Amino acid sequence: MNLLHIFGLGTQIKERRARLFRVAYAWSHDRAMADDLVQEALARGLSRMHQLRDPDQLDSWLFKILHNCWRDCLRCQKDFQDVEDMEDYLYAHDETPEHINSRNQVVDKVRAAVALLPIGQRQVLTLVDLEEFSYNQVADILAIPVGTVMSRLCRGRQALQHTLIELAPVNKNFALRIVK
Amino acid sequence: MRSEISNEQLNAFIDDELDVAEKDNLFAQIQADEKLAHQVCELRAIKELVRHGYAEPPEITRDKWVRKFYIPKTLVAGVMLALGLGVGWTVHDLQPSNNQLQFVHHQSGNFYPVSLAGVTEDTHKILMHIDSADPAKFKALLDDIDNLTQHQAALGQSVQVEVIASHSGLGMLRTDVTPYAQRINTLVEQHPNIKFVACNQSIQRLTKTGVKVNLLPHTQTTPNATEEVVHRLHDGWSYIKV
Repeated sequence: MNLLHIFGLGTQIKERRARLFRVAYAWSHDRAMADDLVQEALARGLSRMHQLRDPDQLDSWLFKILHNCWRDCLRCQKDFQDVEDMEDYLYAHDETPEHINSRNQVVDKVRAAVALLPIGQRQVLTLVDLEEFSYNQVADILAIPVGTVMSRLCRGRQALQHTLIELAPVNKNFALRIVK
Repeated sequence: MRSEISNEQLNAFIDDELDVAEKDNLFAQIQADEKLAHQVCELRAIKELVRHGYAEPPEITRDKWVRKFYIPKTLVAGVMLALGLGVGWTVHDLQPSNNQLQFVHHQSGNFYPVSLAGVTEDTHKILMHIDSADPAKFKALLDDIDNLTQHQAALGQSVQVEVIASHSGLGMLRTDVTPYAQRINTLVEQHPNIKFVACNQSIQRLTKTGVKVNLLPHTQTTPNATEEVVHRLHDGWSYIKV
């Protein structure tokens, strides 16, 4: 890998900041934490640029790093020793301040609903929906089997359907009645 | 037919994860089953909603954080000014009190004033001790006193100097040995603050060997040079060994 290539790659990595931040925010729903995560991920990415074999895999490689940063961050909290368990329980709040403060806006409702998902489902959902990674890529990024990706996604969407469906454009109860 | 389609498959369908054959099959079923079509529709809506929810994430806050802790330039300037004034004032206060010693030190090069630890040092009181018969040292000492007095006159501050001569240094104060009799006399006459003191013990020792000791006029004696030095140090004098 020549110097010019590395320089170009460095610029590309930095250009991913906004996308990484969007996903990190969707995971943590905490601006400061998302910012720290992205910063850490970019720093790691830039320092380990030479480890990237295939430049076409830059995106999933970066999101893998982001995922590792997120796990490290969760590990530091020490509430759960086993990160696998934690992914199913942590951050599955009943109510979030965001939810309470701004129920009326669609965006806030969506975010609040996503915040209610267990983090494992939330990660899969955001990677698939926001970044449009394939199931295989998501499985690779999160280091889980493809089957787990599918089941998490399925459960996540079901939960969202439950909380959000009245917002969705399709309203099956919508019908005009003639009242005499 | 409907039961064959799992939720996972529907999700895979809207995420474009199915191959052509599976898609074919699913499209056919969706056309036949209104409920299934509705479910696909809802899932698509959810996907769109999630995208919409994060289409505009909050701004990256790093810059704002920096701005939050940003200290106004005027404040920095103020602090620097106060610091400068403070340091200037302190140094200004310190300087005159150290002038004499710095001066002696500077002029003589190898003279190091010392004072007793724990005693408040008075740099206006300087004790010079000579115990060598080296005429060069006599000269150095007298030159230093000259410089000191000139410096003191320039500053308008008084400085007390006491020269103690012991052992071979006694020669400086003996009329028949010293090469600087006239110079010392003038010094003492011009500056009442300058005292030349001879060690009595050294005088006794010389007398015992049969030498007649004649001291310069104005010269005082002290029973013991060491004792005198210790007393002076306790009183806060600075001691310089020539």
